[in-house]
Amino acid sequence: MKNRLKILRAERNWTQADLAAALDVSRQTINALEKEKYDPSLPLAFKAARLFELPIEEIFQDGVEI
Amino acid sequence: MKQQTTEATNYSSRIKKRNLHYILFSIAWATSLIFIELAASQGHSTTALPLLLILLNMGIGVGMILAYIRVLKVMDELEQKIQLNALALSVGFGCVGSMTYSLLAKAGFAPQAGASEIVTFIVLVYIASIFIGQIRYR
Repeated sequence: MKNRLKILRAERNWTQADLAAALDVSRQTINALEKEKYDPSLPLAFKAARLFELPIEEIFQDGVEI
Repeated sequence: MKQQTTEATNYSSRIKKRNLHYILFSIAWATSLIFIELAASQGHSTTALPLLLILLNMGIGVGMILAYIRVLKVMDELEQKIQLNALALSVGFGCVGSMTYSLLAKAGFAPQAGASEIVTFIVLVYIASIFIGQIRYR
Protein backbone atom coordinates (compact mmCIF):
# COMPACT_ATOMS: atom_id res chain seq x y z
CA MET A 1 0.00 0.00 0.00
CA LYS A 2 1.37 3.37 -1.01
CA ASN A 3 1.28 6.31 1.35
CA ARG A 4 2.30 9.94 1.58
CA LEU A 5 3.55 9.88 5.14
CA LYS A 6 7.07 10.94 4.25
CA ILE A 7 5.81 13.87 2.18
CA LEU A 8 3.35 14.98 4.84
CA ARG A 9 6.01 14.66 7.51
CA ALA A 10 8.52 16.67 5.46
CA GLU A 11 5.96 19.43 4.86
CA ARG A 12 5.74 19.91 8.60
CA ASN A 13 9.48 19.55 9.22
CA TRP A 14 8.98 16.60 11.52
CA THR A 15 11.50 13.87 12.12
CA GLN A 16 10.47 10.22 12.10
CA ALA A 17 10.79 10.32 15.88
CA ASP A 18 8.38 13.26 16.04
CA LEU A 19 5.82 11.44 13.93
CA ALA A 20 6.32 8.25 15.96
CA ALA A 21 5.65 10.15 19.17
CA ALA A 22 2.55 11.77 17.72
CA LEU A 23 1.16 8.39 16.62
CA ASP A 24 2.45 6.62 19.75
CA VAL A 25 4.40 4.01 17.82
CA SER A 26 8.08 3.21 17.46
CA ARG A 27 10.33 5.00 14.99
CA GLN A 28 10.88 1.60 13.36
CA THR A 29 7.17 1.45 12.54
CA ILE A 30 7.21 4.90 10.93
CA ASN A 31 10.27 3.90 8.91
CA ALA A 32 8.59 0.67 7.77
CA LEU A 33 5.41 2.57 6.85
CA GLU A 34 7.28 5.19 4.84
CA LYS A 35 9.23 2.50 3.00
CA GLU A 36 5.89 0.76 2.33
CA LYS A 37 7.19 -2.43 3.89
CA TYR A 38 4.31 -2.48 6.34
CA ASP A 39 0.62 -1.55 6.08
CA PRO A 40 -0.91 0.12 9.12
CA SER A 41 -3.89 -1.20 11.00
CA LEU A 42 -7.16 0.68 10.64
CA PRO A 43 -6.86 2.42 14.05
CA LEU A 44 -3.35 3.60 13.18
CA ALA A 45 -4.48 4.81 9.77
CA PHE A 46 -7.32 6.74 11.42
CA LYS A 47 -4.87 8.20 13.93
CA ALA A 48 -2.66 9.41 11.10
CA ALA A 49 -5.67 10.90 9.31
CA ARG A 50 -6.68 12.81 12.45
CA LEU A 51 -3.10 13.98 12.99
CA PHE A 52 -2.71 15.33 9.48
CA GLU A 53 -6.35 16.43 9.29
CA LEU A 54 -6.80 14.62 6.01
CA PRO A 55 -9.07 11.81 4.84
CA ILE A 56 -7.45 8.37 5.03
CA GLU A 57 -7.56 8.05 1.24
CA GLU A 58 -5.37 11.13 0.86
CA ILE A 59 -2.67 9.53 2.98
CA PHE A 60 -2.91 5.83 2.04
CA GLN A 61 -3.64 4.44 -1.41
CA ASP A 62 -4.08 0.73 -2.04
CA GLY A 63 -4.01 1.19 -5.80
CA VAL A 64 -7.04 -1.06 -6.33
CA GLU A 65 -9.57 0.18 -8.88
CA ILE A 66 -13.08 -1.15 -8.58
CA MET B 1 6.65 19.78 17.56
CA LYS B 2 8.76 20.40 20.70
CA GLN B 3 6.03 18.99 22.92
CA GLN B 4 5.87 15.91 20.76
CA THR B 5 9.65 15.60 20.93
CA THR B 6 9.43 15.71 24.73
CA GLU B 7 6.64 13.16 24.58
CA ALA B 8 8.75 11.12 22.14
CA THR B 9 10.12 9.27 25.14
CA ASN B 10 6.66 8.10 26.28
CA TYR B 11 6.47 5.09 24.02
CA SER B 12 10.12 4.22 24.41
CA SER B 13 10.08 4.75 28.18
CA ARG B 14 7.00 2.50 28.50
CA ILE B 15 8.80 -0.20 26.52
CA LYS B 16 12.04 0.24 28.46
CA LYS B 17 10.24 0.00 31.79
CA ARG B 18 8.38 -3.17 30.83
CA ASN B 19 11.49 -4.65 29.21
CA LEU B 20 13.44 -3.99 32.40
CA HIS B 21 10.86 -5.91 34.46
CA TYR B 22 11.04 -8.78 31.97
CA ILE B 23 14.84 -8.80 31.97
CA LEU B 24 14.96 -8.80 35.78
CA PHE B 25 12.54 -11.73 35.95
CA SER B 26 14.58 -13.58 33.30
CA ILE B 27 17.79 -13.07 35.25
CA ALA B 28 16.08 -14.19 38.47
CA TRP B 29 14.74 -17.30 36.74
CA ALA B 30 18.12 -18.20 35.26
CA THR B 31 19.80 -17.58 38.62
CA SER B 32 17.34 -19.82 40.44
CA LEU B 33 18.05 -22.54 37.85
CA ILE B 34 21.74 -22.27 38.65
CA PHE B 35 21.03 -22.56 42.40
CA ILE B 36 18.96 -25.69 41.80
CA GLU B 37 21.77 -27.25 39.77
CA LEU B 38 24.24 -26.36 42.50
CA ALA B 39 22.00 -27.79 45.23
CA ALA B 40 21.56 -31.00 43.26
CA SER B 41 25.29 -31.33 42.60
CA GLN B 42 26.05 -30.88 46.30
CA GLY B 43 23.89 -33.85 47.22
CA HIS B 44 20.83 -32.03 48.57
CA SER B 45 18.49 -34.33 46.67
CA THR B 46 17.26 -35.99 49.84
CA THR B 47 16.25 -32.72 51.49
CA ALA B 48 13.34 -30.38 50.87
CA LEU B 49 15.72 -27.69 49.62
CA PRO B 50 15.71 -28.64 45.93
CA LEU B 51 11.89 -28.93 45.93
CA LEU B 52 11.54 -25.47 47.47
CA LEU B 53 13.99 -24.07 44.93
CA ILE B 54 12.10 -25.78 42.11
CA LEU B 55 8.82 -24.27 43.30
CA LEU B 56 10.51 -20.87 43.62
CA ASN B 57 11.95 -21.28 40.12
CA MET B 58 8.49 -22.12 38.79
CA GLY B 59 6.97 -19.08 40.51
CA ILE B 60 9.65 -16.81 39.07
CA GLY B 61 9.08 -18.44 35.68
CA VAL B 62 5.38 -17.61 35.83
CA GLY B 63 6.30 -14.04 36.76
CA MET B 64 8.65 -13.94 33.76
CA ILE B 65 5.86 -15.09 31.44
CA LEU B 66 3.46 -12.46 32.80
CA ALA B 67 6.15 -9.79 32.45
CA TYR B 68 6.65 -10.82 28.81
CA ILE B 69 2.90 -10.59 28.15
CA ARG B 70 2.95 -7.06 29.63
CA VAL B 71 5.83 -6.17 27.29
CA LEU B 72 3.84 -7.48 24.33
CA LYS B 73 0.81 -5.42 25.31
CA VAL B 74 2.68 -2.09 25.27
CA MET B 75 4.47 -2.80 21.99
CA ASP B 76 3.17 -1.10 18.88
CA GLU B 77 1.52 -3.16 16.15
CA LEU B 78 4.63 -3.79 14.05
CA GLU B 79 6.71 -4.90 17.03
CA GLN B 80 3.86 -7.15 18.16
CA LYS B 81 3.72 -8.66 14.67
CA ILE B 82 7.47 -9.39 14.74
CA GLN B 83 7.24 -10.92 18.22
CA LEU B 84 4.20 -13.08 17.42
CA ASN B 85 5.78 -14.31 14.17
CA ALA B 86 8.90 -15.24 16.14
CA LEU B 87 6.84 -17.06 18.78
CA ALA B 88 4.91 -18.98 16.12
CA LEU B 89 8.12 -20.05 14.37
CA SER B 90 9.84 -21.07 17.59
CA VAL B 91 6.83 -23.12 18.76
CA GLY B 92 6.47 -24.68 15.30
CA PHE B 93 10.13 -25.49 14.85
CA GLY B 94 10.33 -26.52 18.49
CA CYS B 95 7.54 -29.07 18.12
CA VAL B 96 8.60 -30.42 14.75
CA GLY B 97 12.31 -30.25 15.54
CA SER B 98 12.04 -31.96 18.91
CA MET B 99 9.77 -34.72 17.60
CA THR B 100 12.06 -35.32 14.64
CA TYR B 101 15.10 -35.41 16.88
CA SER B 102 13.32 -37.75 19.29
CA LEU B 103 12.58 -40.17 16.42
CA LEU B 104 16.18 -39.95 15.21
CA ALA B 105 17.41 -40.67 18.74
CA LYS B 106 15.07 -43.68 19.06
CA ALA B 107 16.29 -44.98 15.69
CA GLY B 108 19.87 -44.63 16.90
CA PHE B 109 20.90 -41.89 14.50
CA ALA B 110 21.41 -39.26 17.21
CA PRO B 111 22.25 -39.17 20.91
CA GLN B 112 19.42 -38.61 23.38
CA ALA B 113 18.61 -34.97 24.06
CA GLY B 114 17.21 -33.55 27.27
CA ALA B 115 14.68 -30.80 27.87
CA SER B 116 17.42 -28.19 28.19
CA GLU B 117 18.66 -28.91 24.65
CA ILE B 118 15.14 -28.57 23.26
CA VAL B 119 14.59 -25.29 25.14
CA THR B 120 17.93 -24.00 23.85
CA PHE B 121 16.87 -24.86 20.28
CA ILE B 122 13.53 -23.06 20.71
CA VAL B 123 15.25 -19.97 22.14
CA LEU B 124 17.74 -19.89 19.27
CA VAL B 125 14.92 -20.11 16.70
CA TYR B 126 13.11 -17.30 18.55
CA ILE B 127 16.19 -15.04 18.56
CA ALA B 128 16.87 -15.72 14.87
CA SER B 129 13.22 -14.98 14.01
CA ILE B 130 13.31 -11.68 15.88
CA PHE B 131 16.52 -10.72 14.10
CA ILE B 132 15.09 -11.63 10.68
CA GLY B 133 11.87 -9.75 11.48
CA GLN B 134 13.78 -6.61 12.46
CA ILE B 135 15.86 -6.75 9.28
CA ARG B 136 12.78 -7.34 7.12
CA TYR B 137 11.08 -4.16 8.27
CA ARG B 138 14.18 -1.97 8.41
